[in-house]
Amino acid sequence: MISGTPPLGADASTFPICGILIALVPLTPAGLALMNCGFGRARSAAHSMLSSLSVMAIAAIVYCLLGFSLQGFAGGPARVFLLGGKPWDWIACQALGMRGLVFNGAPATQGMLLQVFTVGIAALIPVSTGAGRWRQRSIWISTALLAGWSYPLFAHWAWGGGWLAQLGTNFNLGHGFLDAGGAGTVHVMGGLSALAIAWTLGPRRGKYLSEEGSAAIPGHNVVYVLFGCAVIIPGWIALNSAGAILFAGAESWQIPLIAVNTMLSSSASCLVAVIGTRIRFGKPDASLCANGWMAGLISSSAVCCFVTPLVAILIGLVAGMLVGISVEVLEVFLTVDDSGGAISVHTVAGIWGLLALGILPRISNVGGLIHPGAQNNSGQLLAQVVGIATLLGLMLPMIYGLNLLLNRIDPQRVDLRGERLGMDLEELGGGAYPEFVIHNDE
Amino acid sequence: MKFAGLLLLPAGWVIIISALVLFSQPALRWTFVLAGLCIEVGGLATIFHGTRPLKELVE
Repeated sequence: MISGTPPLGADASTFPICGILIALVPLTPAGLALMNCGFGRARSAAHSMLSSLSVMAIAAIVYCLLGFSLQGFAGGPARVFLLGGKPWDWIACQALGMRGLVFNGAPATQGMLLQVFTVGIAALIPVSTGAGRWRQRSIWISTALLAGWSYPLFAHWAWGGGWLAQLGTNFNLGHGFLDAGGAGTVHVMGGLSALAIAWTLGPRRGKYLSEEGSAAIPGHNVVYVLFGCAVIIPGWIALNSAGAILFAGAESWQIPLIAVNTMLSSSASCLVAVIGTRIRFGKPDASLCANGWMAGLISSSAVCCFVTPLVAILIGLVAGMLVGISVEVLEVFLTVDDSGGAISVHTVAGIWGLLALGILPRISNVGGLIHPGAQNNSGQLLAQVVGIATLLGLMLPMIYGLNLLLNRIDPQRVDLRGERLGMDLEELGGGAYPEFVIHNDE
Repeated sequence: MKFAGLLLLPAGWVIIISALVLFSQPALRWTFVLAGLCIEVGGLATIFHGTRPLKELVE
């Protein structure tokens, strides 16, 4: 057992500002919960909201009791092995239940607090994908696995001084894997969990009819979806800012740059979706525009403190295009039923953001982390690619394998009767809108 | 079929990590990293193919 790399970023001077930022972060899961609910059907609306709330609760408790001890923080105790003469820091070994953490204003405490929310955000993403057919008990167990094992493992590698963060020092790959606001650690992880859930559950009944191909099952309340997009903005800016300070060495004076980059990226991505869907369908599609908005936010998370506003716009433009294509490819050609487009939005946009950090020019004065003239774009790109390959090649099969095992022990999908009845009546005993009959099939 | 894809994904990742450990020249590293990525994409494609909904289920 040896210590990892020294902590980056925050110090005592940034403690108050980080505290304020972290207090705003819960707006992000609130917006996501609204979006999850709006993208689903009316007969599963209350189930979706309760699932979102319970997912946040379970993720927070499991992460604090178990996850943080596996994730730790940069400079904390960790398990390291030698391979090829290089140290590979693969897991932290903090005491369980946060007993090793001293609440004395150290950056580690704020990093832990931020991740009490980010782990919930990652766990909320699959809830959208499994809408209308994922049993609540299975949601809870799957969330516990994510918060207690999968998320902390990757978060340690990327944010806790693990081997991905050390690619720069060990293998001369730029500054190691960089992910300021959690594009990979939170969103790609959540998106891959959503993909695993979609594979495990299969599509909703009636989604893929043999003669008609893919049937559209529109969300029941697009106002919830769009309002969620608006609610999410302050939370996202706070998340990107706090993450950049705590995990990427940004300074508090860079918060305006981070906020502008976040806003510009999401705006550009949303406009691409508006224009693209208008050209394609004759009128803008509100759901796809919301997906575009989210794609810009997610891709900005990786790069928020590293690029100029113009580059952030470019990143948003590409994210909007990629997600528009990805939603269709996934639904029509790959026959993955993802009611809210969460897999495309979180996985594809997150991966694009991580790649963009290695491809596009970065600013040269981020907290002394990146110096003028010393940018090793090829090395940085390789570090980002290794991080993405780890998410796809190691985390995805692990998450999918765990969910397959869970499904074997306790089937995750509700039965046919429950799916027809709706998750509200099946699992909660009452509908979200008892006064109204919304659809003919209800 | 999906289990074959599940094996291909970590196989690609192992090739990528091996490239980092075994080679120091950027060109060689990139070559093997891209090869590993191709295997991962193949694994993904295999899983997608293996999890396509069956006609009996969707009709």
